[in-house]
Amino acid sequence: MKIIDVLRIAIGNLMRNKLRTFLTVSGVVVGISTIVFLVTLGFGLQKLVIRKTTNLEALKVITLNSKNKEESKNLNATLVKKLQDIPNVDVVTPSYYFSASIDGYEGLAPAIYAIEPSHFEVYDLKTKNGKQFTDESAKEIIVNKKLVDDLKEDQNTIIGKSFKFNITGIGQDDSTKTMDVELKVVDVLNDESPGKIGYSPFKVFADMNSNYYNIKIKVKTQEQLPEVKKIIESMGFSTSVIKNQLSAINLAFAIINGILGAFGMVALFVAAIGIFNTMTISLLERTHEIGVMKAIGGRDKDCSRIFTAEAATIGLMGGTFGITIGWGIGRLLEVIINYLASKAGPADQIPGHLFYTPPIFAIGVVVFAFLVSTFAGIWPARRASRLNPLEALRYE
Amino acid sequence: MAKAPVIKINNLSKKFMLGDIEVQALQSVSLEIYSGEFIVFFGVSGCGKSTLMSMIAGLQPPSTGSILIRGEDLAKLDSNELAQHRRTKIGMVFQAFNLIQTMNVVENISLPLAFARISKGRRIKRAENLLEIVGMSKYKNRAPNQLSGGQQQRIAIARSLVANPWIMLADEPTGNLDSKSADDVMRLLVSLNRKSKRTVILITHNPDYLQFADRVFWMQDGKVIKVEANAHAVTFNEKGKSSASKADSFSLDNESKDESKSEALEEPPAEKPETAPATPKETENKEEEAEVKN
Repeated sequence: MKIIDVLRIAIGNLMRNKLRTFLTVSGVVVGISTIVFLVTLGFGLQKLVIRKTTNLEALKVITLNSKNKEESKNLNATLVKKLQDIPNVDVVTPSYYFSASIDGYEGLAPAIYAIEPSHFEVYDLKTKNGKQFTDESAKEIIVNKKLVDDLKEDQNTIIGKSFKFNITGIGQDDSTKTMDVELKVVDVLNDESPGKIGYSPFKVFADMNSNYYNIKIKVKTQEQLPEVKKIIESMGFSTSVIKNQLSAINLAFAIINGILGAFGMVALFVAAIGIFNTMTISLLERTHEIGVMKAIGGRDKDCSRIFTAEAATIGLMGGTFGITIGWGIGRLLEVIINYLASKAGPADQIPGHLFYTPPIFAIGVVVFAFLVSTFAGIWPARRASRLNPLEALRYE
Repeated sequence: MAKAPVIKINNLSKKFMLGDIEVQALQSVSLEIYSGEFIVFFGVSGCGKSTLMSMIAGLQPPSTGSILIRGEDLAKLDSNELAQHRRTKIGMVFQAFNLIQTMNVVENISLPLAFARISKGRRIKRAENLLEIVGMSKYKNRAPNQLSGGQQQRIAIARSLVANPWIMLADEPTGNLDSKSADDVMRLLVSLNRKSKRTVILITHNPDYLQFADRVFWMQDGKVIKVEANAHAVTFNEKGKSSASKADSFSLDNESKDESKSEALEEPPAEKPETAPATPKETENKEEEAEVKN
């Protein structure tokens, strides 16, 4: 018998028992939509966490650190030049680190990082008003929230004010150097760091003649990062990438998704029992029919295929509707939550997308529903194929 | 009929267990049936005639002895080959009609062709042809339960003919019918035999039908107790008034034209290669081809 004819008969049978088919499919729909809802929530939260903690640019950045004083001596303009020659490297930018004190604020010792304003994006700094430094050597500073607090200032009114900083650093000749500079606050960092931090333009501190604190290397695409990282490490430097944190986040969510998926599996398992039950009852009802089919020339295989096709069709329908409904509930919830969040808090507190359905997951879930259902139909189908035609004919 | 028998049964016995009691359904039955014969197995219920029929159809294996259909031993066929045997060589008509209730008339008739992997278009054409022959064209989209018993049996006969089998096995086909419908069905069976020379085996306990038979096998307690040849088998036309035209109109030649191939009305020896021992292991595809040629 051709597959198309098997399907015709199978679908015909399902259509004739609409209520039962509907209920059985509903079981699969509940199972699949539960899995979809829970797992896409997991995926969505994972994306949300990654989005909120890092940005995509940050995923392209390798940080070259100095482990000790000896190593730090090698972090210099020559190395920067060398790093720039590595293929697929987009940006190489060094930074200084100084400790500082502020005139009029006894005991307040913020850390000052000097970075190149032209490569501001490499540092993934999110400022409250989106301001950056005016130019490469502007005597300006971007402070973080903690520093604003310790300065006893307000995050809005501090902008534009100047403070006298006393900078201390170590020169390339190991001598301690100091420098007094008045820096104007241009913006406040949107961070939660417990440390007191300020960022200033790199060139302001050129006279300090210090070793670099670190060098950040941005590669052209995320995929090239591991390769470039390897090259740098082969030069004898230790590196760190945000990818490490990312894989920790991903691992955590893989576990969470697994657990959420397992809850959904319970529902799908119940649905599979439902399919099994439906097919078994159907087998009993159609025993005589199977006898007739065999008597007029149907092969054992044909009979079992009809049953398998029915179970598989239930699975396919359940999978398709299940993913649609699971996705729909997620979307609805997302809209509601975002609406409530927009009413309740500031714009940056709106979570945005809470659910994420990777296409491969969507396809996978439908295939999975199909397989589970087909599996549930195996036993009834085998029984149909093994029925003795004569006994089946007598069966009423 | 000096040719090889279409059915040859050798020393056939069948025993089965009903609970703890062993029932001897058939005892050492040996007989030969020739192509184009109208055979009646006659006997009271429980005499073993239905068991014999189901064994010819390959629905159950013999306990001892053998059944050869054109020389091919059914015992040597596996379940797929038996299905093919029923699909291509045997047309079965049952007392209880055994139409599939969830399918309409055309679907029922064409179902054996679906098992033979013949395309839907050709199946339906063939089914509609047969519907015309059994005079049921206007009911083609009805469900079986919307038809009378006689009508259902005519559909069942159409179904049994759809794959153009060599042998028709009819087990009490009129048992559930009123006399008028019974006449219609018998007329159909007789004309099938007379006009298209198809081998018809009728199982009945109604002595009225003995007159149509070329030979009657009298059965009792699982044995053939008497074989009666009937040199002047009655054709239905002689009995019914309107039947003549109807019987005339019934010719499978009509179908053969539509199917654009020579109808195997009767199986001359030339057709034998299809069933020759060399072919039983033919693949599904070859099988299809053979069926399509049919």
